[in-house]
Amino acid sequence: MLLHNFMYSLLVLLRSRGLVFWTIAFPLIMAVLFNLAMSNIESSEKFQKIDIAVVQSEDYDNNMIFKNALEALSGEDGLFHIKETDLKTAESMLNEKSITGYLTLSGDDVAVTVKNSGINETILCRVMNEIKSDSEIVVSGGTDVINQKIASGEFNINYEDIFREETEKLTGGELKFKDTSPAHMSYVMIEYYSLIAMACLYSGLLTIVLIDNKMPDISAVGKRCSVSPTGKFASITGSLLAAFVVQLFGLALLFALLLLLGADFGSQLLYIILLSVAGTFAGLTAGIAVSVLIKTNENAKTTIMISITMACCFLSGMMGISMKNIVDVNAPFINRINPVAMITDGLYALYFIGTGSRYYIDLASLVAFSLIMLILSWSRLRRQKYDSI
Amino acid sequence: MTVFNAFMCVIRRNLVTIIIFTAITVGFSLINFASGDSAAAFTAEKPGVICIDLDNTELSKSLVSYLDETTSLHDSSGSDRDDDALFYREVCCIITIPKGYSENISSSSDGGIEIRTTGDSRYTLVEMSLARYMRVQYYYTGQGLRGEALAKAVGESVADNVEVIMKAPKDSTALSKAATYFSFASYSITACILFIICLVLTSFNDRNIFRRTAVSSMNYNKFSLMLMFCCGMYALAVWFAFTVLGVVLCGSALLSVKGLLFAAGSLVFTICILCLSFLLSGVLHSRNAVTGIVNVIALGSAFLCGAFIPTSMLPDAVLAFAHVLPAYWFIKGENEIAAIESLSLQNLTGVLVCFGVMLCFALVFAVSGLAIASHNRRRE
Repeated sequence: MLLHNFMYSLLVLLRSRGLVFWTIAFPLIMAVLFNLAMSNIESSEKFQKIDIAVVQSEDYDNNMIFKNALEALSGEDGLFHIKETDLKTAESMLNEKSITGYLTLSGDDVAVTVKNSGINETILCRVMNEIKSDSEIVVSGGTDVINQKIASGEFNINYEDIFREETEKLTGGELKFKDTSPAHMSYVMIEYYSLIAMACLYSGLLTIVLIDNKMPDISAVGKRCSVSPTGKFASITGSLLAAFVVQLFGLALLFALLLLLGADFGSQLLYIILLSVAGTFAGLTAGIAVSVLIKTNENAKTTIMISITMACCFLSGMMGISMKNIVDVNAPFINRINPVAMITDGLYALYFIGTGSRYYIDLASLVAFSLIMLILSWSRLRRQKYDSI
Repeated sequence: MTVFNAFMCVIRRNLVTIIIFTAITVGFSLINFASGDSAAAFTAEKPGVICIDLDNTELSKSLVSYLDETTSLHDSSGSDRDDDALFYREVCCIITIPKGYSENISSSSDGGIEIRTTGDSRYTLVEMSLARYMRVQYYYTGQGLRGEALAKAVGESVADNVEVIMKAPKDSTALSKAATYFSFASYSITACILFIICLVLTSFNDRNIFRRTAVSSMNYNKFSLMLMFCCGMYALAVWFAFTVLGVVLCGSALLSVKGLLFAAGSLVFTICILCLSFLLSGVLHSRNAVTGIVNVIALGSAFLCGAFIPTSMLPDAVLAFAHVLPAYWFIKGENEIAAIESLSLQNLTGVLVCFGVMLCFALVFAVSGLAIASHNRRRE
């Protein structure tokens, strides 16, 4: 009887175009959209050379320290693309946003003109500060050396050499900090993970349809099923298995597409599959709970399930990657009961940290969530008996 | 009145669904909006940094104090939480000052400092500032300075002292936040209007109800006009709600001529989406199809046009494709309004072009919608 139920449930699911769209086609469409929108996001956060202008003036032409420093900064590995121009052109370039800012010299003082308070503007200001303070340190240090020489009776002084030595002492030698950065830092993966989690939760749509077909107060099919001699356990388990198979097929397609699009799932594929299976089970049981606990028509239940899933996805970072972290920091309880966040966090833990306690906690949370959904549903379904005559 | 009552009846019947869907889309906009101060003076960008001081000496504390001035220093909350903050770009690097740092700095300029980083442009700024501090410290160490004297000399030398002139329009930050709010609202407005109107019109387009209306004594054109009026009222209510929410969130920046322009832009966009919903309701015949298509259109437009991701981060090919979507012109228009320095016809040209393109989209959708409705009517 279980196999019979399984086969018919499978037919019902595969014949419903709406369900096939939500569980199979929609995640695939979203994967393509994510890939299109995110393909540039990580390269755009890398540092790009900053376009700036220097206003030509007599003071600028005479200030060799400043000129040399700017020349060094505009080299191949430098920070800036520098254009020398007049004030009017610099202003219009700033207005057109073709430069981040422009520099004007008055005596030894540099003024930086910018339009916003962004990262590039701050880099420009800080570099100008550095040039100015470096020249002050060198002048002060060089003057001390000269004074010491004069005090010790040495009057044959090569001023140029002294200042060059001081400059070398301050700026010479490459400064390299020990880099212990993690290897996996692609946060676009969070989008893919939340997509997998969304697909898992959408399996609830399958169980909504199947369970509604077993509810006598919802559908005519439900009335027929309820008075048939089939046990509730065999009937629901068969449906659950069919939904599980359809959803796993959808997930397999999604994984294949994501791999084609260049997603990096690392070497922990078995753990990922395990988490996805647990996530699918959570989605299926959530669907049963919605179907059993909310007394309304199938369309309304479907909309409720989709809305809940979208809200869970939003809080897990699908519509803005930093959202999951914001929720984790400010309201951690929300993501502890959010099944999409559990799946996303588990996949993130695998990608960034590896299998550890965090992964297993997420896995256990999903199982606990599923059990709670099942208990809630069962508490409503038990004692509902209809005679088979 | 009969049509209006029928419209309200359908709305009432779907009230739970409508409330949930509207609450969720409004909630998305609310949660997504991050508050911030507007500034007309230059304020240096302070990237988030976590600094772990294992040395805990006068010199290491002096470095931490410098980082506190030049960056937004976050407290370390254990390695897992710190790594999360790094991965999600809450901070751009984790700087560890090792034990023995005070002794290291006389032999090596880097002091043995360890860094975990995202490698983005914010880190370039932090690395530059840190390198500057370490180089100056190393220089003064070579001059024989130690302890408190060294920390004091370094602190004085690395202080910012260049004049910065800010040529930004007043409230530019608040306006750019308003543009961000309206960009995200494009998703919420699209989802809210498309979903509800298509849902309601699908009920009216149901074959039996459609035939019943057609054979009734009611003038069909009057019926259609009334239905359009009801949908228009609903769309206006959605637009009004999102505009009021924008004023509440963005404050005084929107109580200005530019605020009116933002509102006008969102109104034109609302009209465009209203026309699109007329078109779709003529094509879609089941509620399931409505939910599916609405989600694909709303989320697709949002991802491809820059509602969720700034347009500057989108690939050129995606932006080129986005030109055929109304949301692109809406978001472009709102960003241009935020960037306008003074209101003149020349400065407003770009904004007016965006409004014009959206109206053209609306016209195309409306004409196509009417043609499909007329075809459906003839077929019946």
